[in-house]
Amino acid sequence: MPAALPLLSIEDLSIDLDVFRGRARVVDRVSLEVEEAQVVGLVGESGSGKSMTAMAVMRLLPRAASIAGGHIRLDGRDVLSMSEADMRRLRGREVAMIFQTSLLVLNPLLRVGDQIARVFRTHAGLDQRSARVKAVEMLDRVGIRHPERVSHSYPHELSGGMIQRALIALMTAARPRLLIADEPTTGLDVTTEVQIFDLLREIRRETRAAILLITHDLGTVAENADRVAIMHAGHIVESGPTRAIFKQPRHPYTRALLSSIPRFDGSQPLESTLRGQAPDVFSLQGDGCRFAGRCPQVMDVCRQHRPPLVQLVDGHSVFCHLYADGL
Amino acid sequence: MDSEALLQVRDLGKQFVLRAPLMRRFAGSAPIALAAVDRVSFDVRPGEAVGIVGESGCGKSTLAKCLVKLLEPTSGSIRFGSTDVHELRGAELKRFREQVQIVFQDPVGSLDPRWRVRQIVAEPLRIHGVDAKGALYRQLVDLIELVGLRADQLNRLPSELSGGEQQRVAIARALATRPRLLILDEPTSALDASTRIHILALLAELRRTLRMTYVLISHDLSVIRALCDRVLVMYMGRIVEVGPTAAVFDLPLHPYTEALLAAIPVPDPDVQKQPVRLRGDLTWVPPAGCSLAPRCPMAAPACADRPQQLVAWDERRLVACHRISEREIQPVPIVLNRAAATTAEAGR
Repeated sequence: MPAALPLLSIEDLSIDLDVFRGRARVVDRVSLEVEEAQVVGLVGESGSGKSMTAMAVMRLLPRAASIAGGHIRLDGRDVLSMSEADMRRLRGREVAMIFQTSLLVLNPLLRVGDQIARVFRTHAGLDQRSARVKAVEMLDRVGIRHPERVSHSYPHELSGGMIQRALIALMTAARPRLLIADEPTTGLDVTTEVQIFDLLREIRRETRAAILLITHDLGTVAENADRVAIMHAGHIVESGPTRAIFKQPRHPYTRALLSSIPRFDGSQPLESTLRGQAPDVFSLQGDGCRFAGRCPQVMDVCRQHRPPLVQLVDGHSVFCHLYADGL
Repeated sequence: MDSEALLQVRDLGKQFVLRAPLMRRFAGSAPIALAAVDRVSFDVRPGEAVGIVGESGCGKSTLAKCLVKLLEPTSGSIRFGSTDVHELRGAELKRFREQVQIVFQDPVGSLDPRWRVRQIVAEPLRIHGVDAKGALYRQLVDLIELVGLRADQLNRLPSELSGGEQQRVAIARALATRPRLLILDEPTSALDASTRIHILALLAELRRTLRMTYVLISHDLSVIRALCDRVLVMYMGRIVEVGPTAAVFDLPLHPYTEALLAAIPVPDPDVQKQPVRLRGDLTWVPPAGCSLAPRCPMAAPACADRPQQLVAWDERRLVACHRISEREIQPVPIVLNRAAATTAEAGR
């Protein structure tokens, strides 16, 4: 689709967090695009702002957080200026989110099948009986055995993998065009994790839904994403096609992250260039690079000025002073 | 008996009795016994690092707790050196606790939030008797530096440390009594990826310098690969495969090991993996036959009839799979019991 608008475009999004300790910019001028049927991985350590960014797209930010600038466009519509009523229609039908803590998302007092049926009643206007039938179909489609029986179960009666599957059934029931998956397999076993990713891949093939995959795990990103954006302390430091990020990482943080994965074949020594912690966003001063304190290649300019955006080939871009004069 | 073994586990079983919900008990439902650990046998030799890998609910943490006598097994035996762990009482038990220490997954939960680091690390020294005050401080500094922290951090509270530093404190506390055997139960699972590799490097370094023996429990195969000489793979309370780490990773024999290995995400977009998938989800009630049979991609009808048993595949590897004999290489059909285990281990 040349020149077509991306399905999701985030431009210079900034989010402030106001808490007892003070105010901090937890997401700082973040830009990101997701095209139709594309899987984009958003990677960062805990506290890097990746979930905040996702919550802003859903317009589900916690009360202490506020948008300090930027735009979010979903299919050309300005998400941040929409009324709450319009937004509610958008959620589920256009964009849906799968959370890590899926047990908390499902209502513990309602049977799983009834919760999925409600989506069909709300978004497709079906009556209770045919909505129930559709719900069982959905459970079957996400690979749950004995879907009829499971549809009568309460969430606590299901295993972690089944819950996550039921949730995917619930969230994709209205065939959203964008699915935000926030650490969808954290806490699940690896053999269940591959099943969940198989399922997401299948759903994407069937519905052409785009997926924004939020994770700290570079392995799942390498296997599932078309493009990757790396976040550190509220900044996107590098983004590009998955292969470029893994084969030619440019930002020192991306390189350090990659070096800190213990290699499976034991080929690498147990050492990493990644040191220390991400900076405390509440005590940041000035507009310097937020990775400067941990960077093995830090220069004086890094602490003073915001790193420039450097465009490389194939939509690979990096924010880093090292490349200010080109590669 | 293999006199060389530091730790010898034979036919170990731990059952938990699940009582039926109140209403069903009135209706006459009997309690169900759940075998968290089922007939597990293995040896750990001095200086060896043995990994136990498996997914949640496979019984690996129950096994760890049995090894340090935090849980009493329902059957089987554990010998540490020449002593039977089950029989230990009083002063002997205290001596055992000095020699066998454990590091848990969650450093926050295993450190007292109101104690300073020096109190936390000093406690085992105090319990196991260190004389003069000056000597104690010296030891604390040595310990804290051994795990890569600074002496001034002795006065911190756990909440003032990062996750990685907290886990270093937990390791320092475990090392305080100079144990011979360290049980590590998911030591890096609660940590960020960037911290994890530094803790792994520390554990590798400590093992080399202190000539420690490790039993490392993890669901993460890359952690096992990085630290262990030998690996035991557990599924639903049973050991399904045993072998040298490199050999098991290069050629997994059991379909479960194969699926586990295939499931690890590889951070390299160019790697194409053989998709080996288990079907469905783990059930709580063990099947009558092979415990993996309902989910196994290679299961034959006969697999559901008989429970699987560990047999020697070569002199260093054991596998519990009915279909292993259909591979080219003929296994030696021996059941792992006291005598057989020794035979199998002796060839190592």
